[in-house]
Amino acid sequence: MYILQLVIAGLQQGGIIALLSMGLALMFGVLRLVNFAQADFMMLGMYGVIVLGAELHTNFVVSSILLALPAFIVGMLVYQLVIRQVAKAKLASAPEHAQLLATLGLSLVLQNGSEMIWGATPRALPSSRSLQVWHLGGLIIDQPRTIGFAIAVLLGVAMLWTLRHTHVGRAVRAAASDRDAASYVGINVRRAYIVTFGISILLSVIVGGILVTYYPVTPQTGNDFILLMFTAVIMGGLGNVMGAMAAGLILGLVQSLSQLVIPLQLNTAAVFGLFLLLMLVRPQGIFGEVTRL
Amino acid sequence: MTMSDQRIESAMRMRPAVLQLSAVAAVGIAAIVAAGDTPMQPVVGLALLYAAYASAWNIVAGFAGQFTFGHAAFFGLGSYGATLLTENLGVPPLYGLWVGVVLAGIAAAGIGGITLQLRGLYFGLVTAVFPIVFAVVATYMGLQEEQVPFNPNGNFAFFSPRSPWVLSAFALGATLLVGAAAVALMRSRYGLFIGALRADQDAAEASGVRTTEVKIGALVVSAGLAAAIGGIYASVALVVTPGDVFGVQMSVKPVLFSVFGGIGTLLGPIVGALVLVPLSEILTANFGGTLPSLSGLVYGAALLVVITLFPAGLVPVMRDSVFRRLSRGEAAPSPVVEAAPFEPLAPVSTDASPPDETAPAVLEIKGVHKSFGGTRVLSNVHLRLRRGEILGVIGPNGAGKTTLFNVINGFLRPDAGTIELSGRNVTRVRPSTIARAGLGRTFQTARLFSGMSVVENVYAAALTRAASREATRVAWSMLAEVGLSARATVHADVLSTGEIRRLELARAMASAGEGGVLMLDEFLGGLTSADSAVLLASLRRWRARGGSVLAIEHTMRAMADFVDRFVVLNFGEVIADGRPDEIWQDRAVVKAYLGEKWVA
Repeated sequence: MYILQLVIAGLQQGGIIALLSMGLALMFGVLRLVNFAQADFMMLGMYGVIVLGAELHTNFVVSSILLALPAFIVGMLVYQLVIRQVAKAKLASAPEHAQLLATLGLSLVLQNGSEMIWGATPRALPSSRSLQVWHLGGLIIDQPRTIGFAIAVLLGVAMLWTLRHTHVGRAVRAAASDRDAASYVGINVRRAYIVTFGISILLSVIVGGILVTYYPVTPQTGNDFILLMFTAVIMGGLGNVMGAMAAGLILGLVQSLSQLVIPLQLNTAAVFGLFLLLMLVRPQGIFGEVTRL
Repeated sequence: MTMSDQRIESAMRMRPAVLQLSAVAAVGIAAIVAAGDTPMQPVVGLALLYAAYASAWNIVAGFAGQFTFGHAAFFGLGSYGATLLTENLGVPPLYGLWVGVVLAGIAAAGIGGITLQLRGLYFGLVTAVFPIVFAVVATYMGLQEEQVPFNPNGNFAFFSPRSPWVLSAFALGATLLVGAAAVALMRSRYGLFIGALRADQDAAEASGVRTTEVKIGALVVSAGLAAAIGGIYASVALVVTPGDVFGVQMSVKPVLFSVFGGIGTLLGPIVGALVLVPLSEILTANFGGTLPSLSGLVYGAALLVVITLFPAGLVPVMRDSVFRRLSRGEAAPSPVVEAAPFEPLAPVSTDASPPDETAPAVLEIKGVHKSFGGTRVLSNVHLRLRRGEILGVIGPNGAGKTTLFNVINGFLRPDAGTIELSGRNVTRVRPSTIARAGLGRTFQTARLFSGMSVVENVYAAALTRAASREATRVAWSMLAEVGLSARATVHADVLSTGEIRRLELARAMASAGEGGVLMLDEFLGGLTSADSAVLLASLRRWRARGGSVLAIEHTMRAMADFVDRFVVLNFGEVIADGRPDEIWQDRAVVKAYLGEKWVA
């Protein structure tokens, strides 16, 4: 029973990591961009839901929906105003590093800017909802985490469906697999890039909206997640959206189940230890393909 | 994009290093004296300490091109090493920090080992994991907050807490030490290997450079220096916490300062830290009460502005506007550049006749198979290259020619079969070892060591087989062989297509060594007839001196006049083997190239 409880907790946590990592993986797959600021947009979503809750008294679901469009637009603006500018003036011989460094700068600006606005004290949603649980047999199931997990799964499936079956999704996938070939057949690659960035930021913001129901936010909250996200993305095979999702769930499970064998305080070490072992055995990730030369 | 952005200071261009470090020393001493006993003294100390830390990071990230985002792992080990020893055994931090240095060196070797196969972004992201793990373990061990013991009577080895300038002086010393270490390293033979690794890891490995060892070596040096600085930092911070010394910020700061000042330059990281740290400290002192995060915001904004406007960083931009180079692309003097050009090799007769059937095999490939996933690319390939032979490997696109080369030089491992080079089994041996056994290669699209001069490109390869004096001789004579002596001192980046091919050939010859095997991947394509003539003449001389050549082309015509024998590959199988005139007549070959209906 205890193990089952841990599995449930692990899946709930993993669902969040999975959804966050999918956005990051999509961005890497399409734009070849490593975004250090990805988790900071999640942090902004968390503050956004708190602010909307205080001002408009909307619950976190409505608030997240309200935030979706602004998040998409902000994402597109960031791409246009920052990422693309850097792409134009890239460091010779290491173009991906220039963009990555720009996102590092962006991350610092977002974290410290948020601290100026909201201060460093942790904030949480004032609702009592975070304490509500369902009793199912002998299991105790945390309500907000479960609702969050359900939303995460729905969003993840929706994103995969969009990629597979819509015109935009096909354009994005084409741009990801071969930028030049895509533009030759008339796909607007730049638009696909902008849309990808926007969607990816939107995902982060919505995850923030879910997470804030049970996880207090500080301007540095993103730092708690960004490495887990990268770990999931690398484990899943860099740029593999499905792989990142699966790896995110696995990471959540490992984090939770590691309590069975090692002290709780070391669970982060367990997650990363497993990751490093995996890197030794399969440097291309669980679902990645070997690319050489 | 101008040349200036591509310019990463390779060792060889560090001649004014003494001057640069003297300038740093002068500025540092002036700042320490000016700050005196004022509250500015700790700021000066901190800025100098971060200058040293950023310079240490720059060794592996800038010079060797291996970005890490986890240097806090090493920095923190130094901090904890020094603090715990002082706390528990009363060892002064100046001596205690060496324990941290050793620990960091061991950790770096381990981390290098784990991340061995990873490159570029993978490597950088995976290194970011280590400080997090260390922080978790330190917390678990109950080291959440270690006070650095205050020793009011301590001597300089306790960084004399009574006179704040002592700590600044040590910080300045650390900056100069790291700078000098970087210069010494880059001026040594390893400096060239580090430059080659940064430019192109595969080409370096194929030229005989032990890229793994070079990479781990650069990481260990950089990590050890970072730990020493972490040890001094503990005395500045007075309290050591995992969140600080193993924190994300501590990994980000050296990146930030180096990129701001100019990554891959000697002065860049120092200038970056000396500008940004005081700026942030002054902002915090003045506005910290109301806007505590202002300094972080400034860091982020500075990084964004620099990376957008002048991605090469502040120092290269200023240097270029102050000292315009007189002759574009001219490399600065270096030991190999300065060496008087040696006499070209003694002329040899180039009409050596092809070896006969009895000549010994220098390269022997037996039953090699290679598949990618379900696709079989090489199927039971047998091939024998005799000493002194020029053998052409031809075949339509997708026949497996380049894969064959990659299997021979060790980039790929064959699924079955053996490869012998000069009688030695080199199957599943790493490329640098195969290169050292006497194999040099070129690439289908040329892969030079950019950022290095023409002669340094060849010299780096020659250094893998010989001491510097002999390597210098080899480098110059190989350049003379391909007719590039006049261009020896320019940057490899400014060469024309024909010159690039010549340089690649010279480098391949230097890495194979006299009497070795050259593998040339479509190296005649797109060349003028003058360039082809030069290359073919040097290949004939290579053969006359006892060397052998294996060359890939699409078409027979390009090579018909200079090869002794052809091997024809189609769909990964050898379908014909014979003299050029025999191959013309071969039905299977005609069918492979032109289709069934052309077979007479």
